[in-house]
Amino acid sequence: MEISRKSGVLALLLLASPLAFSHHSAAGIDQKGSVTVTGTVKEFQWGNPHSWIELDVVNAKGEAEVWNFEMNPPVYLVKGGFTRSSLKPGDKVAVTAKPFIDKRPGGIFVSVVLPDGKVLGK
Amino acid sequence: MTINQSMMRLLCLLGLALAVPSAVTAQNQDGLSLLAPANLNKTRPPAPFNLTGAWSWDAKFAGANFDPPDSLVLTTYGQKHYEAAKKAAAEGKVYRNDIGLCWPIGMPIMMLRAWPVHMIQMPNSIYMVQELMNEIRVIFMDGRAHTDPDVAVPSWAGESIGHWEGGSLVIDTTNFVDERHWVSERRGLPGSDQLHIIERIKMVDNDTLQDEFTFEDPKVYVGSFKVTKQMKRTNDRDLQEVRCLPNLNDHMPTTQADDFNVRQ
Repeated sequence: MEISRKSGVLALLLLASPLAFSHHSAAGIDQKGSVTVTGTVKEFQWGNPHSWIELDVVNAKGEAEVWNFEMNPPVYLVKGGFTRSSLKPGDKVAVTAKPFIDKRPGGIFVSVVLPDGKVLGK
Repeated sequence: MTINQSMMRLLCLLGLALAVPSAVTAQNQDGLSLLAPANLNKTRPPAPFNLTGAWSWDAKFAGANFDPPDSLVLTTYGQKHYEAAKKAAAEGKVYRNDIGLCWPIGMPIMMLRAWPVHMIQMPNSIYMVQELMNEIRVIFMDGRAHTDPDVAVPSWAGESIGHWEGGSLVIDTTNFVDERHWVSERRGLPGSDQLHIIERIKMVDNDTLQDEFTFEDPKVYVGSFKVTKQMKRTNDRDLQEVRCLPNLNDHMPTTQADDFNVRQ
């Protein structure tokens, strides 16, 4: 309950703010949609103009996929509770994102549930 | 070397200096660069206001885009880009996603990203740095004229010459690149080497500046159009290094997929 409420607030915040900090257009993204995938962190990059998560995921067909999630720069992520060491390769996490319209693996990051249940976003 | 030989050599050097441009940017009347002490410390009237600070686009005042009015009459060249961008947008694609692909942002879009523009006002100039990609713009205010376009190195920020006019700062910017430069990406409005921007900047209050842009670009459209934006002081952001590096887009699914981008 707590997790879903927080995620809802984060999603609302993201909907309210355009992706103008981005270095590019967000065409192809389903701005109203939401996807949550569980997987293993392959890489977490803390940097400008974007941070990112690469997540190893096993899809419904049992196939391995790599999901790329575009994230805000650290100046915003720290306000959502992130630090550079929040995610490490090997961490099992659930990432919620705005998906691609054509369902390709990836999206614009909204929030993550860490192995200890803590939720970080923005 | 005799005195006559020395004189001849000096005259030859002077002749060369007169015949060949000495720099690819215009210099002021005294041939001095902006930071030369004799230029910097010259006595000047006090400026009406000081822009030193970090400034962020005010979304409450106006949107981030420099969209032209629907009534703008495009040239054949402008129409070609406009139609292609319209078609791409209808398909959910980005037409000529040059900024996303790490080409410089340039003027005017560099003034209006959500990342702040850090401005430092000197007695004879204003340095503006858009934090996103750390793009720099120098406003020359030491009385110099624009560089001869035949000599100037075209750039995305262009060459900006400013002066005070009443209570406003007027900036005239030319000498732009001709390719991969946009005034409105989403509308497919390019900035050509004939782009000319006049800005009139005034302070609405101590924490708000208003920038009225007038655009002319005879290669792309007929006549001119104006767009007015406001920026707010941002007091909690220092300038950071922000680069578009070659590996960035490998991890950005919105730019790595060719079928989302309509490229040249």
